[in-house]
Order: sequence, then structure tokens, then C-alpha cells
Amino acid sequence: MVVRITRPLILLPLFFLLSACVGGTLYRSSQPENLTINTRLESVNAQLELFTMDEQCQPVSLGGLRLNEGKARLGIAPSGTTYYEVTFKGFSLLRGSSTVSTNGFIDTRKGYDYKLEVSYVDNVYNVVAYEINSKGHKRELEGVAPRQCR
Amino acid sequence: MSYRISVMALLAATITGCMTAAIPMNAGEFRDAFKEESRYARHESYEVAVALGDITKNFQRYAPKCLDATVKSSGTTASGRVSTHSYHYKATVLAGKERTELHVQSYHAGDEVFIKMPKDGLYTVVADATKVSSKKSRIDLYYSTINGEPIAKAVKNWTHNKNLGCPDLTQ
Repeated sequence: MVVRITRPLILLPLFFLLSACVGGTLYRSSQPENLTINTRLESVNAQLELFTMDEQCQPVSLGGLRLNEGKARLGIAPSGTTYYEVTFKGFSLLRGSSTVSTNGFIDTRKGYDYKLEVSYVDNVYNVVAYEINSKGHKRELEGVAPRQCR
Repeated sequence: MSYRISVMALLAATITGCMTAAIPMNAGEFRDAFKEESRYARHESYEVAVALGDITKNFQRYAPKCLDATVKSSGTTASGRVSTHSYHYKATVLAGKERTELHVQSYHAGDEVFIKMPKDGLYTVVADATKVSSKKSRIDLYYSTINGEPIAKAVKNWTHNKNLGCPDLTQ
């Protein structure tokens, strides 16, 4: 895991702080909604980027979106591997800007629903992925790379 | 940057007699050096109504995930030069039936040239969880106030089995 902190001597322009834009492509999916994202944030912005894996197990970005406090629903490929990266971005006058990222894999199966619990509270962050079957039974996913990519 | 301060603080503390030993080279020396609180050293001892097995699971799950990490920082000097620093963290969990230990070490890339330190860096946090009963554990937490507080806060959460997650090492 690599986390980054940047301490510019010149303060960042205010528009950067207030920007709601996500760098790169905005994630859009024509898939049926099968992923719920529950987000809880304290004093940081969060961004989710989704990837598919190519034949060489290299991630290919599908786009990103800003995570807002609360619940969101979106669609990911119903069978296959989706790689996700969540980035938390903070800023303080003393420390400058900082980013910390975490990532994982979701191996999706048809007929199942998925959930990402994303939190950054009291300088502690966590992202946990779950698979939910049709009866509502929830199973935590390990988030490790698929066998062929290890 | 914080690690440089940490090294300097440890040296200063040693020179001024605040600590009886030099740089702790193992977890035992770190406990000895940090059991008496000072400006740079904290020792907290408390009991939790959490089984040792659950604490061990949290240590084993979150320590490698959160604390085997590299933090990169960069800043721009007045002359416009960009300087970058890397801080490396390493966590070790020693699990037993009656007691589980978590050791966290860290170092600033390049400092190992100037100071004799343990292989994976200076001891930053040591947490000992000891079984009291089937549902209770005693925690002894030792940490540096220079760069160990965010980690210690997350470790406390792991021992209380609440707000589980990774410390933001940039804070």
C-alpha cells in the first residue's frame, strides 16, 4: 500500500478544494444496478474508480465517481472481475493535501448483489466488500486478486 | 519529516537522560524505554471486554493490510525545488493462546545510513494483548507520540473491536 501526502508551500487555489469533479472519466454503466455503496465520511473527500482486468491481468479503467455521504447504487458487470480503488483526499493548512488509497477485487456472479461499505472516521478508513444472495445472506469478500492474476 | 523528528527526539531524550537506553533494538527494549511516560513516550494499560481471539484476528487482519505500507510525501521549497520523502512501515504479529503481540516499526528512507536501527526500522508502537478470561483481555500499549499516535488510535479500535479499519498514516 502506498499513501501520499503533499505539502505545498503555496496554498492550493480554493476552486481545487471545492471542486466536485472526478479526474478522468466519469463511471457510467448500462448494467442493471447490482452494487450498493454505503459511504460515511468525516472531513475528507472520497473517490471510487472501477476497473476491469484485461487478459494480462492489467486493470483497465472504466471510470470513476465521487462518493458522497449516504447510499448510492450502480451497476457492475454481473459476472467477472471488477477491481476497485477508493481514494480519500484530505487537506489542512498545516499539512497540505494528502491522499490515501485502498483497493480490492470483486468477483461477481449472476443473481447476486454486492455492497461496498466505505468509511473514513476519526482518521481511520475502511472499505469492505460483501456479496449478498437472493435470500439476503451477506458474505464478506476477501478482495484478493483472482487466481489467474496472482 | 516526522521520522527525522522522531530520530532526533529519541537521540535528544537519550542524551538528556529521559531514557535509560539508546535506540531500542527490539520490542522488549522499546517497552522498557516507553513504560515510563515522557513527552515522547506513552504507555497505556487497560482491560477490554473482548476475547483475546477476536483481538488476535483483528491484529492479523488489519496490521499487514494497513501497516505494511510506504508513505510518500513531497513538498516544494521556496526555491521551487520539489523534495520527496518515503516512510516505510512494517508490522509483525506474534499470536499465542494466552498473549498476542503487535510490533510496528518505521523508518525514513535514508536514515538507516546515519543511525543504527533494527532491520525493519525504529519501534513505533508495541501492543501486548493478554488473556484475562474467555471474554476479557488486558492491553498494554506503548507508542511514540512523534509518529505513533495515529497507529495507536487504530490499534485501540482493534482491541475494542470497534471502528475497525486502517489508520491514515498521513495524519
